Amino acid sequence: MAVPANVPELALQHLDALYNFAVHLSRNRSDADDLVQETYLRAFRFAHQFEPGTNLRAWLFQILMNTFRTFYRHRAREPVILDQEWPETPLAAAETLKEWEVTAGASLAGVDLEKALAGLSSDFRSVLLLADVEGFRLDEIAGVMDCPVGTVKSRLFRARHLLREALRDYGRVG
Amino acid sequence: MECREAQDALEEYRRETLSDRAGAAIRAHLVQCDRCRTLHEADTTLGAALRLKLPRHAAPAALRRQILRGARRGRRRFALSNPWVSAAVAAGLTLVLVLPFLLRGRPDPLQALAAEVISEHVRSVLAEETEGSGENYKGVVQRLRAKTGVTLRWFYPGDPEIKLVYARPVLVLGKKGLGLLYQDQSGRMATYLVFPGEEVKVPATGRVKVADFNPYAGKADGYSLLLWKQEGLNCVLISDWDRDRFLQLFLNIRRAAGPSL
Repeated sequence: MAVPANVPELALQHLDALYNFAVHLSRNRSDADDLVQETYLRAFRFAHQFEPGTNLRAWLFQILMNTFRTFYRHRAREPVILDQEWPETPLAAAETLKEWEVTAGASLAGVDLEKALAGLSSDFRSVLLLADVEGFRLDEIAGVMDCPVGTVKSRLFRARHLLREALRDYGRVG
Repeated sequence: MECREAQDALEEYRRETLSDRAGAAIRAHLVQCDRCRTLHEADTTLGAALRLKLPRHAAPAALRRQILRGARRGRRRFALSNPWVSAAVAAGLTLVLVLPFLLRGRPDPLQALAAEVISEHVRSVLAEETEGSGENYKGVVQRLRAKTGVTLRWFYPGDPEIKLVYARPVLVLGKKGLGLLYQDQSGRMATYLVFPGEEVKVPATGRVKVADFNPYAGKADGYSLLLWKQEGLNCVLISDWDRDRFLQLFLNIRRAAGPSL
């Protein structure tokens, strides 16, 4: 297959999104710089492996995620999530969720949201960012995170539950 | 429909990717189930908050410039098969892949060392901060010696078959070191890194015998790696060359007696 010579230019269109993802993923700008640099180096190096017509943005996020897993998470010694078919922890009471839903919409501050998100494991941060911030489809998220769609859904469910709990700790809810 | 079944489909329901029939079933369930409806609304609110309120970080201008330079070099590589960036990136990737494996189970300082080597390598490649752009590599290495304090008494300047094409300073765990790039006649590259420090331990197993020497040999992602200690310095050689040529370069480096610096 011919090498898509315009991959570098097209890839650069996603720089801000990749950097934003990298900052939230690595939780500091210095590591995000390195992470994004390595992502683009890999993208340029392996541009011949990109299949024209497929989702370049998802491919770049996948490279970034792999780079993070290969090195940064290993360095940070983050705990590995044990995926479950479905979370065993029961949902918060409906009343609590309702209260959260009503309160959060009006009073949730971005800085609290960022802090609460940073407290989650990288897999939970990733799945929330990919789904709710970047708007990837579930199958695209599965590709980026190298896991089945069912695992993506399970992680989303658990991540949202944990994020709500964390936000409650910030005094915004309940 | 049971709650569990409905909750399993709520993500697709929010994304409107369910069939009409499945979507109608979820809607019907949400009407009659306060628990699932509340969960659906809470997740929708949280998703909107993440999308609209989570601070977004734009790429710094300096990073953008570095990436742009990398893109231009990448484009040249695609067009002209320029091996420089390819080899440099390959070297960085090799370190990314090999060093964590190599240092697995070792104390954190070694992992930090790998991190800094990789970061330094990537930064210098993207920033095009090379000092070796001409033929006088003896002069270049002498300048680097003055900058880094690293004495390369075994400096191998290359020969008609293996050229030294690239030299630059590196910073590893706060200690200055040297990075040199060699090119064979087919244009393929080998990277040689030298840096001080006691943190790196050469694994006792996985050694290979090369003439009178016994370096550690590793392989990952199609690239070969040799790691050894020499006069108190850490030495790493990485390449995708064939075994014989790779070991010959190692011997050339290891046996070099000059130029005297």
